[in-house]
Amino acid sequence: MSRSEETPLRLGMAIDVDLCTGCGACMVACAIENNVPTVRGPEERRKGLTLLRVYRIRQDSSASAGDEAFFPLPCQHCGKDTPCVRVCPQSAVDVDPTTGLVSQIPQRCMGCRYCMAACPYHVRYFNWWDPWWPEGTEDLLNPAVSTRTRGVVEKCNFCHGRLQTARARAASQGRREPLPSDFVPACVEACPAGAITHGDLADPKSRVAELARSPHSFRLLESLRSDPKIHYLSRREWVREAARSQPLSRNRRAGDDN
Amino acid sequence: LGNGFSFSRRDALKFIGGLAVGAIASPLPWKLLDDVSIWTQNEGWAPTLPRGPVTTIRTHCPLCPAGCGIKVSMVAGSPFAITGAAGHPSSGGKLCALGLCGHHLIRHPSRLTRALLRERGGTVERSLPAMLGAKTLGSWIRQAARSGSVIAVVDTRPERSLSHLYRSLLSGLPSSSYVALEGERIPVEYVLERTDGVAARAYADLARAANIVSFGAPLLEGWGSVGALSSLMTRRDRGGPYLTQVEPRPSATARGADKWLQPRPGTESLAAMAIGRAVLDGLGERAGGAVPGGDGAAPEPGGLRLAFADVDVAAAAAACGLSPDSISEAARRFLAAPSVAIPGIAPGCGQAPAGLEAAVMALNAVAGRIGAIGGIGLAKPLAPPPGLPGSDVRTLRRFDELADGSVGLLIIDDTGAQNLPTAAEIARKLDRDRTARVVLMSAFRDEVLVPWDLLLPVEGPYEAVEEILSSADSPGARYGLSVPLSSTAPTNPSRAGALAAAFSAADPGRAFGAASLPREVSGLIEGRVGAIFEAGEGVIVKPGESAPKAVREAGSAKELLTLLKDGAIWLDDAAVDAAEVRGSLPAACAAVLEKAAITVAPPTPHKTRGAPTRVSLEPFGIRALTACAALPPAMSKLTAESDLLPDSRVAFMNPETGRAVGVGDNDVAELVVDGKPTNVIAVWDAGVLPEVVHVSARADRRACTIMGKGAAR
Repeated sequence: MSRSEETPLRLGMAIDVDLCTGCGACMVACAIENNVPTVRGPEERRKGLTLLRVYRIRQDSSASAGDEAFFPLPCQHCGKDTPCVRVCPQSAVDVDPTTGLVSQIPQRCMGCRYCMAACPYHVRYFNWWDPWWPEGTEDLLNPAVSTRTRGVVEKCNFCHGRLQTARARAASQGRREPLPSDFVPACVEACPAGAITHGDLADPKSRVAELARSPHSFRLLESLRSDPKIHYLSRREWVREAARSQPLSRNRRAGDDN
Repeated sequence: LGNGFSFSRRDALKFIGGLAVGAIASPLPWKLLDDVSIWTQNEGWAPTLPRGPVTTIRTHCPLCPAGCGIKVSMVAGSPFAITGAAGHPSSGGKLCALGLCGHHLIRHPSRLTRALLRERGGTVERSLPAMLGAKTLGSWIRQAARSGSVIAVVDTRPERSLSHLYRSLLSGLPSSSYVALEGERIPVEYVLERTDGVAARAYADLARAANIVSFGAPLLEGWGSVGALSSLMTRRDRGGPYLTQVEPRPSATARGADKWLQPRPGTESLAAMAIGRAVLDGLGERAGGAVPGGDGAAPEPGGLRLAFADVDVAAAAAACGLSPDSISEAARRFLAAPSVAIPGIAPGCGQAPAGLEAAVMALNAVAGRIGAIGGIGLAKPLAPPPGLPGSDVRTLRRFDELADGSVGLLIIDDTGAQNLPTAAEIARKLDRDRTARVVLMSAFRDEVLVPWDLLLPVEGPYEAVEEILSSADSPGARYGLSVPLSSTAPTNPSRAGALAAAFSAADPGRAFGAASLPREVSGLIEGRVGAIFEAGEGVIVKPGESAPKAVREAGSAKELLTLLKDGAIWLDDAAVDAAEVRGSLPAACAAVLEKAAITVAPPTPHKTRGAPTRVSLEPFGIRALTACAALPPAMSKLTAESDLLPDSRVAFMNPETGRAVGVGDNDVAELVVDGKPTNVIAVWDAGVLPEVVHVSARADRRACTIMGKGAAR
């Protein structure tokens, strides 16, 4: 163990954009793990819930030429002046001091959506409808994660259910807190290209911290100085430039004009 | 109140007013509102989560030939999560998007429970019990056999025990064909003569290749196994292998490749031949028109040199729209390092054109990459299950090998849904003068691509024991099993049971010999496992356990079967020497290459502003979308809630389709789906099957019309 157990964790991710093939396995794994409901039809497609959404950016606006890159975009877990925490009137959003994760408590949320307006990354999603799964598939939900109701906001929480399971396991082994290696978010586990690395950014020897220090590493909208804990890597200059210049969610989404 | 304190009506009103203001200023009413909304929302609308002890089982994903190892978490007898089985030799603990939510297919809303019968030429459907549907099929088999027309079974997942049973069932019929359609295949039969299922099985040795030339194969989108993709990405991150993608379509693989050669649509096979000719020139007389073997000897003269003789690199490059330098560079790289060339087309496009397959295999052969490390490997194939009588049925490896207008009864097993022939292809093969019929055996309702007359409900994924066999990139033979996940018995008959019942009904006089064949494959699977144990070759790998162990260490065939049902996989890397199967270029290949060379011709002028033409709309862009006849609901995260599908404004079509409907390359066309018109930019792509249009806007297959509107840019 390279760090004291008493030192708070600073859980984060490093996502190598050059490795991401846009297969979408992370999105599906996230939905299955966190019991995220599916959209029922075309009328709901623009208001779907994806706690992790993969965006595509292109070097050239032409559809038939040029390089492209995929950006998996979970909650960035801002570490400083977290915008969503500051605006929540219900204290439903908080930063967990032991992990550094921005947590969302749906039971407290009253659905004002101030946090959605405040989030510069557009990674918060609102439950416009009651959660719905096709008949019969409700038996196939993850028993470790409760479903959320209509009228609340939700977002990526680094698979809180898995963290809690790791905490219980750590407690049974006489430890107060789990080690970063004790749990892996579903997206990290699912990525077939190994593009997502998860770990403790506070531990300088961790793989994620090493990647975060890479000269090819960058964070989205760094000029806001909100200290996001998701680091991206790309050797392509145009990718780094594109990520600096505009929010990804302003890009056109497939199907929006259908 | 007698000591001067008085409480007037005004005081009472003030008190009440103060209370009201105080209450509003307090959190009480807001908390009450909040709680009321939560109480009401939790009532009945939120699903009840399953409860019970959580258990895990290890098995294999049956959804595509990659057969990834999986770990399934179960609660209360139902699966709730699938993750990759760490340490699995093929998948290495990785899974694709579809595999991660494959367990939802057992409760899919479009599951079939009854057979559906359509009157001839009509759209009215009649529902009937599954076994009655099998008897109807039996009567059709009898009719077709009496009329002498061809009865063909299309198997989209060949080499299973079930596949061998199909062949045995057909062998008793006078004119029958068995069509083995593999979506991702290494068609080595074009250049080696003695490989037909007995001598060797070919695979792409991607793991040891330093240079890969892919002719349309979506390597970075999931060609082959997910483990191969994972390994490829990891190796590329460290500087190798070099990937050249030869593809007209701006696919994710093309964009992500080290080098993207973008030939004119329809000239991919010519590009392969041009690279082959440049390779031949580079080799000089050493290659001498033979298939160079592993020993470097110059064996039989013939075919390849002749095949490449008429190809002029500069002229071919011009016809392809490529620079001669790019062809020479690709050839130089091909000779400089362990290289492999693989043919393929976009996901869900069926099989690659025969000319492309032949040209790419000829390129491998002329460069000496057949049987070489990092090239096209030749492995010992898995033997058929013992106990089945030999079959003399005519076996085809391409759907277009069926003669046009010859088929009286077409039976399609849709297990490998990504390989299904399209409606247009099927219509071309049917003998409409007689009472030609199409029967689709499926667990799900899927009607557009296959215009069925009878939809026979059969067991779906994770409902029966299924075999996991070698895939196009698995080095050597392998054998694993996928076991049912649901504790409830399937309501539909098995594929073997349904077809055996149909053949029995067709053969009351036992003339076909179908009655003596098994009605289920479980016995055949046991026999196959027994044969593996008796042969004693290869090793057993159980994911999560340290080292592979010899087959004999299982103790008995029964124990081996138990191990396989518990997620283990048998691997045999016994290679076949290329020299053993070396042969001259088969005449059929020469003919195909000749035909491929003809496609060099510049695009013929197409008519403009044609009439609306009916075509099939096919989803594409994500391989997982085409691997199964139905998509689990969670896949909507990709298809409807993300930016992952390719640009919905682009429609890909075969040049032949474009010419027929009056839509040129890069023209604007009007696509009408469900009566709703959309303007799209047409991009010609020979990888798309004729009369099919690939648009990423929708996730489901459906019919549509398309009409040219003129030049776009």
